[in-house]
Amino acid sequence: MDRAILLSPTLISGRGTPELVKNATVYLGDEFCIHKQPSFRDFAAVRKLSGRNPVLLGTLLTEPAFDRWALLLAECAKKAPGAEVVVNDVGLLRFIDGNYRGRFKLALGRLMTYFFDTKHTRLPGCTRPLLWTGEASAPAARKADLEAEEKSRKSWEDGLDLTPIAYIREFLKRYAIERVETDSEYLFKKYSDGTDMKISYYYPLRLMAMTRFCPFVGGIVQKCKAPCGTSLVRLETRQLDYRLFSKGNAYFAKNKLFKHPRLDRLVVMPLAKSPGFNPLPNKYSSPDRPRA
Amino acid sequence: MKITIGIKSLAEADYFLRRGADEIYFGPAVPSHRASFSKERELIATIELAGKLRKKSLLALNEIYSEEHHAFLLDHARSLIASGLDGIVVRDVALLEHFNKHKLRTNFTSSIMCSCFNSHSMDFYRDLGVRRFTLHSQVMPEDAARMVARAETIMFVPCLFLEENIVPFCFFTYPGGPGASKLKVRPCKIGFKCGGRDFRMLESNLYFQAGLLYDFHKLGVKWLKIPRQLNTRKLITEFEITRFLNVLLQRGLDRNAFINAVAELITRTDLNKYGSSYLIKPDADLRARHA
Repeated sequence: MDRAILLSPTLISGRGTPELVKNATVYLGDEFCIHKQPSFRDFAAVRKLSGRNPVLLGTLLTEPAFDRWALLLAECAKKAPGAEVVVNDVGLLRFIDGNYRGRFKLALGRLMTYFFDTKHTRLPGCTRPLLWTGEASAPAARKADLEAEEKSRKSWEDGLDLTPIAYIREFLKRYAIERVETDSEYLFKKYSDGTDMKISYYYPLRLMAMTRFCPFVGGIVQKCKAPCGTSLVRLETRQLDYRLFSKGNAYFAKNKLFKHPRLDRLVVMPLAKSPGFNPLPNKYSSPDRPRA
Repeated sequence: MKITIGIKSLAEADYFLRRGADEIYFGPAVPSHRASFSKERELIATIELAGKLRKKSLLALNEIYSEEHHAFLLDHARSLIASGLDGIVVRDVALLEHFNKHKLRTNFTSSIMCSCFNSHSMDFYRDLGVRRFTLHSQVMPEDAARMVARAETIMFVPCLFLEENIVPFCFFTYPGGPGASKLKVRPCKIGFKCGGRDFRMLESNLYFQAGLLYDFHKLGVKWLKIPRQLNTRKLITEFEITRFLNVLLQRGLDRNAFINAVAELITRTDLNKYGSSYLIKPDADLRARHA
């Protein structure tokens, strides 16, 4: 099984980096932050450091971030054809397919696999619209109707949020995707049972949420020097039954590792436990409170 | 700008369409969303009402559906289009392809759940027949010029709806759900301790939100969107605020004056007094609808 390590471009020249990337496949970039996307210069630096091409890792891309990716892909197509790209944006997937089909090895990143199978966040029964329909909630409509409606609701609700695997297989073929990635055991099983894809699994954290309102810089900024680094901050509350962590502009819970013959690559996030930081609430670069 | 509003009954449709909404959208007549119809005849009456008032009506199919439901949704959409429905809000690429395969022709609008952050993502959906796009609430005006130039766009009113986290990649369950048995509100609203300090997931301030609205208006976004919700009183207030802000935008206030006006209005209105958008308030006042 291949072992991969996530590396933000801002950490390439870090003191511990040569040791970190030793014998590992390097995932260069970030799945959540547009400010930690790689350039060709970063690509070349990692290649020099590790002796092999890093895997390029992207996120949902804003227009300026997309333009930078377009430049990166143009250079890589010439100077590093066959490099692996983990795509987390449908626009980037379409762009590569239209301009560089066959020039890169494509992996569907964990945002993309969640894009097809969004986690259930609704409560059981919350989709029942009874209170809003005069007829359905009228006394005459009661028992038998309610039972039938409950059954239909459950069947409906259970089927939501899951893209049919037959469609996904066709999608993967259409875009010549060779690998899929996830941090969900459920999705791992879906792809291992339903496709012949190579599968990567992310450990030790699973995604709970991502945002552009980054607590490290106090909001949405146009430029950032990534002060978050590899800092992992524990967020304590008695209201959640699991531990929640903040890393950069994403929130995570602990993930479980498991053994499976189809587990082809383990993608590890390097973490430095941090005692915490002083969040900068509502301090935006633009637009903000107007001057008097 | 024009106003599109999510509704859940014929009475609401009547109320908002007669008070200046240009378009209504709603869930299908099956249990799919709490704020949805469940009887097809009420839904059809709503579509007919919109047609009669020369306004638009959209069906929101902004979930991911199982394959067994594709045929039902296709039939359902066809029957509503035959009754005068003007378009469908979509998110599910498999469903869109099913519609295309069966030559369902209507105006497709992308949901915020499509998470289009760039014009290339819009092209992905354009290939599938989408012609109108809901901008993600975490796309900023400075990044959106190309997106707005490429197609007709819709935005949520930022001071009424601006999620802290990016949908559909926020996986916190609702209070009472798995892992959240002691939770009273969504995790994005609770206080945490972080290394001894207080921590909250960041949200934006009113000045920021008002600035977004102003800048997107200047950029050429055509539609303001008010999301569906169970809490009808809150929905009515959000509609009134949206109408008022729209008037301010059309009057051509300068940016600072507009931002200050929005901040004052929202602070005075105090939407917290209506409770959560997820609260059921069936006694909400729609009495004046024929006024």
